[in-house]
Amino acid sequence: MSADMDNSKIIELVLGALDGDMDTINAIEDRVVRSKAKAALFKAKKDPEGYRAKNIVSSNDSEPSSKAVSNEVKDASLINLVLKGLDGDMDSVNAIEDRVFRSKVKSALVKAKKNPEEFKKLNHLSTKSVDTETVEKTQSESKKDSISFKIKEMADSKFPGSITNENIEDFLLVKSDLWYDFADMLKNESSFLFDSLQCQTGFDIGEDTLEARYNLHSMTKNHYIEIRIQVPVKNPQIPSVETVWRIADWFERETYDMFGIEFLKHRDLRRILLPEDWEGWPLRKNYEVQETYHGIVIPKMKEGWE
Amino acid sequence: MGVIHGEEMVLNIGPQHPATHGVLRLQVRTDGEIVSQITPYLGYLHRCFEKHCENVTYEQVIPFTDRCDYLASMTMNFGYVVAMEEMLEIKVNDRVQHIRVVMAELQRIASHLLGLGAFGLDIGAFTPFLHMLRDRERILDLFEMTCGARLLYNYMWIGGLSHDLPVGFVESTYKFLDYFEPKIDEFVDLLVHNKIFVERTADIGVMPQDVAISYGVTGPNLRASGLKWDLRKDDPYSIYNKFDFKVPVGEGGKGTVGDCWDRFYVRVLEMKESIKIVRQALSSMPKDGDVHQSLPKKIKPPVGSIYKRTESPRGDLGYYIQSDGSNIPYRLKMRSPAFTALSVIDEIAAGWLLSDVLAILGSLDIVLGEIDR
Repeated sequence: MSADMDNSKIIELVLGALDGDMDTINAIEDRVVRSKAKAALFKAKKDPEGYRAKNIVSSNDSEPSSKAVSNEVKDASLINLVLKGLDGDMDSVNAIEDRVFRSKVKSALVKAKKNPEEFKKLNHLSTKSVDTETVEKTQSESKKDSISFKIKEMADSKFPGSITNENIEDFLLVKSDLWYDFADMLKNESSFLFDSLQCQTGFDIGEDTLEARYNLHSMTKNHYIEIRIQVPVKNPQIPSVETVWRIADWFERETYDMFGIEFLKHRDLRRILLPEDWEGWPLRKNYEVQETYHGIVIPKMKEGWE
Repeated sequence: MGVIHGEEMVLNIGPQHPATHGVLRLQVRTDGEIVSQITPYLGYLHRCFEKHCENVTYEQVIPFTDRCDYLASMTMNFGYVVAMEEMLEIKVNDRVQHIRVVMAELQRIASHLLGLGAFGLDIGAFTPFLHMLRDRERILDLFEMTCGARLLYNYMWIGGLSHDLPVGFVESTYKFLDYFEPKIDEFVDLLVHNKIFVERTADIGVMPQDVAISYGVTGPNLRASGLKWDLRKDDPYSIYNKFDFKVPVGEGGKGTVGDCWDRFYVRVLEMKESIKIVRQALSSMPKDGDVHQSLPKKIKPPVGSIYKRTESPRGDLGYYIQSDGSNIPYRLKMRSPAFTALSVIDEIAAGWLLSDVLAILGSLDIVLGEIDR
C-alpha cells in the first residue's frame, strides 16, 4: 500500500469518525494506519469545521488544492529521506529547515528502523521478494524443528490428547490430570532434559478459570518452554510436581497461598507468605480483604490516588 | 563408641536475629549440637508487591521493584525495564545501554561487598565487615551523585534513564576503581586465606550441582557448585555481549566444590570481573545521546505475556508480565533468586552443627525483601 493511498484513506476515515463512526477506525488491522488515523482524528477534532472544509473540498474537486499537492510532495520526499537515513545518511535529514517536517521524518525513521525491510518493501524499493520468501520458508522449517513441536510429537504418542491447544509456538496447554507424567517425561527424556523449573505462577484468567504456568529451562540443552494448565475455579486441583523439580515445593506453596490452587500429593502444602489463618486468595481478581484479623481492623484499599 | 541419641530440641532462630539477614524465622530441630531439620517461616516482610502492581501503571511499578531487593535496586530496575522494553519493542540508544551496564556492575560490587562482609560477620570476623562497608559507601556516593538517592534509586526508566550522568562522574568512577582494585587483594588476605575463616567454611554445607539445579539455585551460588551459568554470557541482554569478561566458577580451592568457601570466593572473583566490565563500558561509552530519547509517551503493551530473566547479584531475576492491552499490568510475577536459594537450606544444612547453619545461611547471601516481596 502506498503512502498516498494511506493518506486519502485516513482522511476518509477521519471524516467518518467526525460524524461519529469510530468502528471503522477500530476495525483497521494494520496498526500503523490505525494509529495514524487516530492521530489525525485527534488533530481534526480541535478544528472539525476547518478540517472538513479543507478535505471535502479537495476530494470533491477533481483538482487537488495547492496545500494537498505540497503535502503529497512532502510525503514522497519524506519516504526518500527515511530511506536515506536507513542507509546511514543522517545529514540530509538534519539539514531540513522546516522543524515540523524534520521531526516527522525523524519519527518515521525511528519507526522504520524497527523493521527496515518491511519499510523498504512497503515503499516498493530495493529488497527482492525472493529473499523474503526463502526467509519465510526457513522460518517455517525451523519451527518444525523447534522444541515445542518435538514435545508435541512425543506427547501424542505417549499421552494422546494431553496437549489441548492448536497453536503451540508460545506455550503448551496441558491437561491437568496427565501433568505429573508429562512433567516426568520433560525432565527425564533424553532429548528434552528440562532440569530447571525457572518460574511457576498462577493466573486468574477470568471466566471461572485459574491457570498455572510453568517456565521450564534446560541447563544442558539450553532450550526453553512454557507450560500452562487450566483448572476450573470451583475445583482447582493440579498434581504436584515437587518431586520432579524440588523448587516446585515452594513455588507451589506460593501459588496455593495466592490463588488457592490445590496441588495434589504435595507433601507440605501450607501458606508460605501469608499467615496460616488468613482468609481468601489475594491474587484472584474477585478478592476482598477480610475485615479484621485477630481483632485488628484492616484498612480498606483506597480507590485511586489522593 | 555408638552414636548417642539425646532428646530433640526445637529452637527458633529469628525473626529478629542479627544473623538472619532480615526478618526470617528458622525453626531448627536439633539433637544436641547437630541439626536434623530446618523449617524456614517467611512472610514477615511481605508487602504485597504483586498485588500492588495490578493497581498501578507500568511506570509506577519501578519504585516497587527498588524495594524488593533493597541491596541491589539498580539491577532490580534493570531487569524490569529490559523485560518491558522487549515487550514494547523499544530500542534504547547506546549511551543509555552503557550507563545501565556501569550502574548494574557497580551495584553488583556494592551488593557483594555487603554480602561478603555480613557473611564474615556471621562467623565472627568483624574487621572485614567495616572495611567492606567503607568501600560500599563510596559506590553509594557515586549513585547519590547520579540520581540523588543512596538506596532506592528509581533510576532506570522504561526506554531510558531518569538522569544523564553528572559532570565528573566518569572521572570519579575511574578514581574509585583505581582505589578499589588493590583493596580486593586486601580482603583476600584478611578472610579468604585466613585459617580461622577457612576452618569455618571449607567443606561445610556442600551443595552438589544437581541439587542446586533441582532447587532452582542460580547466580554465584550455582556457579560455586561448578556450573558455568551466567545469563550475561549465556543469554546476553542489553549490551553484555560486547564486553570481555570471565565467569568464575567454584573449584574447591580449600575443600570440596560447592562448599561455603567456594560461594565466598566466587563472589570475590566476580567483583574483579565487574571492575573489568565497568572499565570497558566507561571507555567505550558514546559521548552523545539523549537519555530521554526513546521514552514512550504512553505505555500500553500489546496483549501477551513475557518471561525475561536477567542476572542480578543473587542470580536469575525473572519477571513474568502479562498484559491485557491496558496501561496497568494484568499480572506481574517476580521470580526472586533469593527465594530459591533459601529453599535449599534444609537440604544442605541438615546434619551440620548449629553454628554451621549460620555460616551456610550467610554464604547463600539472601535478602528478605526479595524473598517476601
